[in-house]
Amino acid sequence: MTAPLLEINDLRVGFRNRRAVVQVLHGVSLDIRPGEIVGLVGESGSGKSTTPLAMLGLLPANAVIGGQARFENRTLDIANPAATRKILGGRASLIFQQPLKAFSPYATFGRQLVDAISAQTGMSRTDAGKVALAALEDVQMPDPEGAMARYPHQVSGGQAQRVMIALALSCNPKLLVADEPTTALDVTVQAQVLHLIRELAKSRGIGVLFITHDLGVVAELCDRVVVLYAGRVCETAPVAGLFHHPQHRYTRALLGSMPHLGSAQAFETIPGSAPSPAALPSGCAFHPRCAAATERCRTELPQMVTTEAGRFACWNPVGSDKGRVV
Amino acid sequence: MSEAAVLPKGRFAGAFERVRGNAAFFVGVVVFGLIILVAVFAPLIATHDPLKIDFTAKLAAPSTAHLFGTDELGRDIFSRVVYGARTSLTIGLIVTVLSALIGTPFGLVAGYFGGRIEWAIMRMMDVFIAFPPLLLPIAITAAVGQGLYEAMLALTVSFFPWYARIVHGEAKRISGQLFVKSARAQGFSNLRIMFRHVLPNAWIPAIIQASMDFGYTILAAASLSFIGIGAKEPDLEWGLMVALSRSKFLDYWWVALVPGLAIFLTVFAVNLIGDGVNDMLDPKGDSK
Amino acid sequence: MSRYILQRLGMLLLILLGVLVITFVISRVLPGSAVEMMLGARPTEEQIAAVREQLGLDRSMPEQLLLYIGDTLRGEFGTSLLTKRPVLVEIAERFPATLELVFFSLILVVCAGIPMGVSAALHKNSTSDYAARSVSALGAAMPTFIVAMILQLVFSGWLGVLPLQGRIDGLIQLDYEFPTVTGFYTVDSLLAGQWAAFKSCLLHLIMPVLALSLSALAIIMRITRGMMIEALGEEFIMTLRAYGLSPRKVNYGYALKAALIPLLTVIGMTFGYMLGLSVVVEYVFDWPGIGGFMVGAIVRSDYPAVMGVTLVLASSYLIANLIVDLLHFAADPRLR
Repeated sequence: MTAPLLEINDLRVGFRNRRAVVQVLHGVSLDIRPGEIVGLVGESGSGKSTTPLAMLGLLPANAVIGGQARFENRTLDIANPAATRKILGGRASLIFQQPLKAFSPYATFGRQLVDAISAQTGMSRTDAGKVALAALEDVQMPDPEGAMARYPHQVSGGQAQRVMIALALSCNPKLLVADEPTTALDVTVQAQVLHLIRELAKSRGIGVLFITHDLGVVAELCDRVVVLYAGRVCETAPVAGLFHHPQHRYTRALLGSMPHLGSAQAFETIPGSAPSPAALPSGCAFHPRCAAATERCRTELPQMVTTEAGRFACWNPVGSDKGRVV
Repeated sequence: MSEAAVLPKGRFAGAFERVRGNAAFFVGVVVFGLIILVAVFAPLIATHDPLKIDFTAKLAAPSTAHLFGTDELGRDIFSRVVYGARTSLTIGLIVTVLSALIGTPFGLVAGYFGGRIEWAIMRMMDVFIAFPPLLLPIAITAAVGQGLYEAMLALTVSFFPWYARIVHGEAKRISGQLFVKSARAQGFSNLRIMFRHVLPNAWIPAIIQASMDFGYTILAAASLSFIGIGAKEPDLEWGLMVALSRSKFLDYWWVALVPGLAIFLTVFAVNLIGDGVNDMLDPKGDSK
Repeated sequence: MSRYILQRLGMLLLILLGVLVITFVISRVLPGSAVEMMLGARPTEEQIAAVREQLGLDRSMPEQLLLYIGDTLRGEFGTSLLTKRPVLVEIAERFPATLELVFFSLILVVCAGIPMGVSAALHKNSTSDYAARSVSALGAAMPTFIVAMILQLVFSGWLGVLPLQGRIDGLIQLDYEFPTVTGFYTVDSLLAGQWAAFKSCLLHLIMPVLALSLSALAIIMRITRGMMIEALGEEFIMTLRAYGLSPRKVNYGYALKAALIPLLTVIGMTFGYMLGLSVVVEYVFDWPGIGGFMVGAIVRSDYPAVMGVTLVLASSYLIANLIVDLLHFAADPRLR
């Protein structure tokens, strides 16, 4: 097994407001290897958007950050966003959820690509322009020269996302973080963009962290999945294992809530709603919504268990139903 | 985490949470509260008859006999300023409430019905808004005459279109929502839908606007009185008091400054409250 | 020319028409007192009829409206009842003074208010932010006429460094005659190379400009701060930061641009605000512009003069808004 590209340990993030610090992440650990696509799954409020921002040093000034991180065997000062950004700049790229909002409406794509590329590489603007053009060709952008001269309002969401991916890849990153990059797109365009990301990741050996709430996308794209609930990792496993033998009750419920094509079986919804970060339940944060919750689940925080298939933190895992612990 | 969760429920949920720790708002409330008390209990607070002319004591400097001195007719400035609070608050209240009451139905109808009605109403409002602020009230007083009530009328005419515009935007947004459409489909009368369903959701921005406008109204009314087209003697109005003192102002400056600062203090307090109201009711607004 | 501009032009004409209707209505309420003023207290029936005919009041309302619009568009604002001269001439003589006052104030407000607002936004909740916000809160609550009078008291009455009122020293105006080129005394005296006159004009301009600017400055600063904070919260700012652009470039290259474009509209509104407020400032400083003229005309029921000034000020504001629209069009690629 190759060494991890990025390793995050016990990442804790809170946001300071007028009166208190609201803790959003309670010790998230994950790792990504080169060429691997890791899906980060969770409901809104689970911390799935905060995690990548913390990793890349993009959290606002009122964030309180703790934990350890290593990138390519270098220790990151993750509590210091500016320092993290400096080390990761050029090596880690980010793709946003809404491509049309991720570019300034008042400047052409060309200008924004050139500004970003020259800022990251120190290239002259002419060279940066060439790199940008090549990157647009790499993502199969139709009419790359024309695209450079266009403003965001002149293209579709799918095309803007291609430009975004071109920007992300233009600096030859080792790590790509994609925050729900297809949610705002049409289904057909979605498939194209997913295909593009997978192809580029595999051919260039880029590690990808793919954040989504859509398990269908995960099944299609990812190698491994990390499931977040209320700011904690509840389960992580390779895609096939997780889909076929989920251990954590929340993972199972999440899978159960997926609509099955061609199946008469109605999909089950998870009762209740995700807890607010400011008011987490005691014990396992999922217990108020969990049908299999035991007394222990209500009082004690579940410990992370490592098996050959993966890791999970559940007092009453799915595997125990059949009288065995996987 | 022992802290109770603040979940967004309705408009007002969390409103008071947001305002907690907003010291400026409380300063505004306290100062404005005091000014209201002064206005209400003016006869008890005033040390002299504000209209009593005394030529033997004209333009007296502040002293124990006359706290803020006297004006050029020998009238006690402190008592005049105390009574002036009544006038300014009344003007502010009447003009703001009337403007909102007149403007809101226009905006509501325009936003609810849309189409040509909307176009006609809103273009009409645009015409009013096309005048530089303060110019329209001045022009109107030229027509209807100069006096306190005329000035209030003129200010109302020039302010109400702003309420129409604000309520229009909100009413239009709400009228497009499902619950209004379904109410229409159920055959409820337009009037009923407008007032039962649209208005209760559309009036918040008008309240915000009113809280921000109150101070400006007082300023504008004082300005009209100051240039001689608003309140007239013997009205007890702060802008007029400043105007009356102008001829001897360089030597007897406190005669002008005391009512001037009274205007400032009132508007300042009202604006602090307005900002607070804005913060409370508009969670998105980050202008503070 | 694009659709956008044609649309704006069409709207401008429509609103101008509406403005004419409003001034027409206002001026038709007036004439009672005007007739009285022209004829004294006890006119005969025939005298009244003659004046009514002279003023066109004997015709039907729609007819009067059409006549009024036609006359106004031809620049015939009527004759001042007070000076017996054409209103247009009276206005033409005074309007440059008003424009000079408002123009210099606008420059001050924009050049000081926007940088202060931007800096407050970039250092949100810092000491300088609180200072800027406090100044803004004080400025917005201060009546302009009190600001003007305090300036007069301090700089003329106590310190004696600035002239109390007027636009230029009377004696200097007699000694140095400079030709009217722009109508702005400061510019014209400078063009004629007359330093003493220029100095006098400049000194006379300082207090009126400060008085007219304070509340507008407060407003612009506050709005700039809000818009800049909003711009800094845009998602593309995060993109640019993520891709390593320097804070300087992100703040001043991208965020400022995104804040300035909506600010154009605010600057246009500020111009209108100051046009209205200039009436008060001109009154206090005896500034020979159309605002002071208008106040005198109202008190003396000189309604053609009042309506003339109203129309000129309203049209100036409309034109300013058109310029704002054009700038908007040039600056925002989405409108093209």
